[in-house]
Amino acid sequence: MNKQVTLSRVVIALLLLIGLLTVRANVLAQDSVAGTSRPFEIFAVVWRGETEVEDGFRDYLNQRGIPYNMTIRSLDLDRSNAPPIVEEIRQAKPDLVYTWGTGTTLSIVGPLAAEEPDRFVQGIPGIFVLVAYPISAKIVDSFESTGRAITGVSFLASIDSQLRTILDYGEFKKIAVIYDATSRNSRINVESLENAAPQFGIDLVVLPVPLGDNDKPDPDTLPDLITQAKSQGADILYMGPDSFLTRHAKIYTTAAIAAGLPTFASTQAPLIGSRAMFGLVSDYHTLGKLAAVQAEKILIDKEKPENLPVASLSRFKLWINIDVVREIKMYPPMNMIAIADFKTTASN
Amino acid sequence: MNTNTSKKSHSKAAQQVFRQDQRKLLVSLVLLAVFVLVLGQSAVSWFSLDGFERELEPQLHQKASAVGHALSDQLSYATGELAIPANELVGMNEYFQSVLANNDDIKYLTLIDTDGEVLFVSGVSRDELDTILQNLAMREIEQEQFGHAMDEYIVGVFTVQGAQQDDSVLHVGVSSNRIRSHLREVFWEIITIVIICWLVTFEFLLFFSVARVEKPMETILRAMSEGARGKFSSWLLVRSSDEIGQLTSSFNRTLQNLRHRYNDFVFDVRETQNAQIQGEIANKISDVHKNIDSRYRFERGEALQVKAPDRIRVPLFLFIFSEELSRSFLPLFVQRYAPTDLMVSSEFLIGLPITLFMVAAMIATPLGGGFVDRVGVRRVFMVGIAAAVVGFIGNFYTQSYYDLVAYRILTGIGYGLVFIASEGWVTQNAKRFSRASATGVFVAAVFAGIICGPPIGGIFADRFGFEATFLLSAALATVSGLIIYQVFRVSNLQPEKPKSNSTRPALILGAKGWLTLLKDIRFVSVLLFAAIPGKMMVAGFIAYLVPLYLNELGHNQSSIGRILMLYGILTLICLTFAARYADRTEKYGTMVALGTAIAGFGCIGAYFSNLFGDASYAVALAICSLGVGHALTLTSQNSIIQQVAQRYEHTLGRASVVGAYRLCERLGMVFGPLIAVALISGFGYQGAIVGFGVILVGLISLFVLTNLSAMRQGEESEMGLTNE
Repeated sequence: MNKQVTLSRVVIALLLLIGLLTVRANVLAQDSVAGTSRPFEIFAVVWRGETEVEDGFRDYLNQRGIPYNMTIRSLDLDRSNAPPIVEEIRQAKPDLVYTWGTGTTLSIVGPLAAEEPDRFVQGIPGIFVLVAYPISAKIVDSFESTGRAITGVSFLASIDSQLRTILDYGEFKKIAVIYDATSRNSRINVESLENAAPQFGIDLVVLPVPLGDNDKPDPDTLPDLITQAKSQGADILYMGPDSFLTRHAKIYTTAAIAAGLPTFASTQAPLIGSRAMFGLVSDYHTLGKLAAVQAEKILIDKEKPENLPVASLSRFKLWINIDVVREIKMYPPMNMIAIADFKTTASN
Repeated sequence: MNTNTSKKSHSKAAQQVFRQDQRKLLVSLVLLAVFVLVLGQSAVSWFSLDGFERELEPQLHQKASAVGHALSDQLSYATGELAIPANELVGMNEYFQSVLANNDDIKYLTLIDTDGEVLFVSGVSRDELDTILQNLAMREIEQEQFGHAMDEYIVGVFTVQGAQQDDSVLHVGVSSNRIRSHLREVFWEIITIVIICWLVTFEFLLFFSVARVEKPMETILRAMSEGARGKFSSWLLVRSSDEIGQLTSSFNRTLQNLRHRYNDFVFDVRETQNAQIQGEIANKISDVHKNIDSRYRFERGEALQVKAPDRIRVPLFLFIFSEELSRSFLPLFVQRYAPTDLMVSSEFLIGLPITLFMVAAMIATPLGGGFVDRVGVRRVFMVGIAAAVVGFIGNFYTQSYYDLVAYRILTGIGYGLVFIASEGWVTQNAKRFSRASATGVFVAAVFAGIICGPPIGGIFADRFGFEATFLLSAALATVSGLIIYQVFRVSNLQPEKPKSNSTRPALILGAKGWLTLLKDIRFVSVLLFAAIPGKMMVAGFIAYLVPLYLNELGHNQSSIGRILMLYGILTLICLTFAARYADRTEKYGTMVALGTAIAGFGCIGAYFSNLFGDASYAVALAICSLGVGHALTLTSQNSIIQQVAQRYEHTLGRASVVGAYRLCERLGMVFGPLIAVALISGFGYQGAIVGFGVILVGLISLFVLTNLSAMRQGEESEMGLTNE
């Protein structure tokens, strides 16, 4: 009898001990999930001010309860603003560097095997967003294995799905591509279009923007180029990931509407800032979240960026500017209306 | 002596009367059970179908309403919010078509503007739509507008809002025909299952009542009638512990006690006899004792066993059932795996497994006969069923054409072994029963299987796939094996040594015997012109052509199985009448000719498929006429062969002749699919059916020609019975 009492006491004591240890272990485990008490330092460099991408990035980190401090610097559309920021990053020694756009990424973390590596931030994990062609821009080796301590998210829909979307909208036969031949991104994009178009039975009219006196593409030639495209039989204009065109999108699209030509855009900016008629684009907020998922893997799971493939969205948004549609009187088919997001120029 | 015979006949008559009464009881019990089943099933089916019908209209409304709301919302968004004029909407045809493709019941969609002009329509032509619109009667149901037109269409009407008071109207036309045809399908499936339930119930009830009640009672009656003749030496071997078993053992105890008492009595008599001093009295006692001994026999004699060929009826039925399950889809199953890179046509490759199955069964039969003689019926049964089960399971795991064929051959071997074992069993047990009734058991079980297999297999295959159906076959065959094992255990049958090589007569016929038979015109003509063509139709038409053709005509497996079932049903129904008629008139030759001609002309009827509207009816007609035709010929062919065999009773042996006939007859099964392949590749499916018909009619004309004189002279002399 006595022995039994003693035994049961021992058992209870043991159970209590196990219970306490479990609780303690849980607390410890939670600590390790949320990181140490020190928040992660994230240093973000953007091209022309904050966008929805950064909002999505923050939203995800907040949702996951990951403590972080985010410092944001902007290059203000000029790569020569980069060196002081690089220096600042070296001083701050953040846990992660975030770069927006091809130019920014190349200015801050530099290309693969840079000739003067000292000019760039090194030894700090990096994530890039809004880089149209990271491989061609020599930022990474391949999407699967980046070859350096940097990974990112890709944001363009494939050329195939872009062309399919164009054909779904209407019976277009000839696409005119007006592009900035000085930009590598644009050249790569035109190449991919030239490769893919024959499979879809589409003709291409390729028109590089002539250079002005300062050896830079001249925006004033855009209306003429559009008239030229029209006279060559193009029935639609294609706007790729081209920062020159994005900057001058208003002139471009106004001229297009005047010529009665619709404009397809492969990035969000011309749809928001100007009057492109439709486009297949990634949602910036979702894109930011996807970048944050990559960041979580690096910061929390301690995965090496070089082992993380460049992530891409599986869904893209079909944006249609209904005002432009009405002006050109080129209505989208019913099956597209059911899935598209409609915008108006006024609400931009 | 005289009194003895009269007594005997009297007791026999009594037994006969009793037997008939007993039969009456069992038959009425079985009939009652089936009747109650029919009543219950009919009621349930009727109520459920009635329920379907009543649910139909609200469901159609619901369907039209759900689709209509979704569509009118999207269209209102386009014309209202996006302000696209309704008549300028783009891609409406594709849009409507994609909705129609995803919703089977919706017949058409149309958008009509405020002025009543039809802007877009999909699913019906403009003219059809105009007719519908003219007949449209509107009414309001649950605050929604519905139109009804021509008994067939239920039309949901929905407003599509425009940007400036230019609302248009969307019509969602639901056709009740599509759902009605689904319902009809369900109705036929229910009918099929009900019929099969009756058959199965009937089979099982008869099996149990015969095996557990009738046969034991008969044995008791035999013992009692022996008792009535003063013979108390028999005892009963019954091993069941049910009511009948208790009755039997109590009867055995009574006999045992009687024996004891008699022995006591004999002892007393001897004592008394020995105690007598006067020799005269002693002699008298001795006389009386002898007299009693001659009148009554009490010493324990042989056991009376229950012998019933009926007992293998259910397992045999289950076995045939399991094989017939794949009947409705086997060619289609083979088609899936048939290699396309070989030199031979794919039709041939599809037919090959059926032919090889028959060849395997044909070879296994005589070989199995020797096997039966050596190891006994039971083991052959077990080996045969095991082979079939492995074959079925193998087909469940089919990976390629070649293992499919290999496992079909294995199943064919099993099939042949089970057949020869069944025949052996009938021979061994048919002593007390006429061979005819024993064969009747056999035929009934086979046809019950042929009726039930294809439709059930078809329904099953439609729902669970071809492979799963083979698994069901394996399960059924296993159950059949277990029952056979049980039957042999209970009846405690030793493998009897047959007196003659009854089960493999064909092999011992010898070249000389074959030559004699092949010179016999009657034998050869029945074989060549009626028996072989009959089997050819079973393998080439029923098993090969029909499933492929009906599939091409758009029938699903359940439907193919149902149509195939017609063959078994018609044969079974007509068989009894045909047999009775043939036995009464003894015009066996005429019956064979008539039956084959019916089958032949039924097939030729396929030439006029166009008159039927749907070619499937022509196929069904051919199947039905084949069923009726086979019913007419089967028993008559048998009788003719028995008569031929009788002529050679002393030279070749009766069983040998019948065996030779059975062996040759199966050649038809081997060549059937090959002939079908040739006909199909030459004339297409429809032409092939006609071709089969022409072959049948041509051959039976030859039969009539070769037997004409005999048939004219009357059938008795034709048989040469009077000469013998």
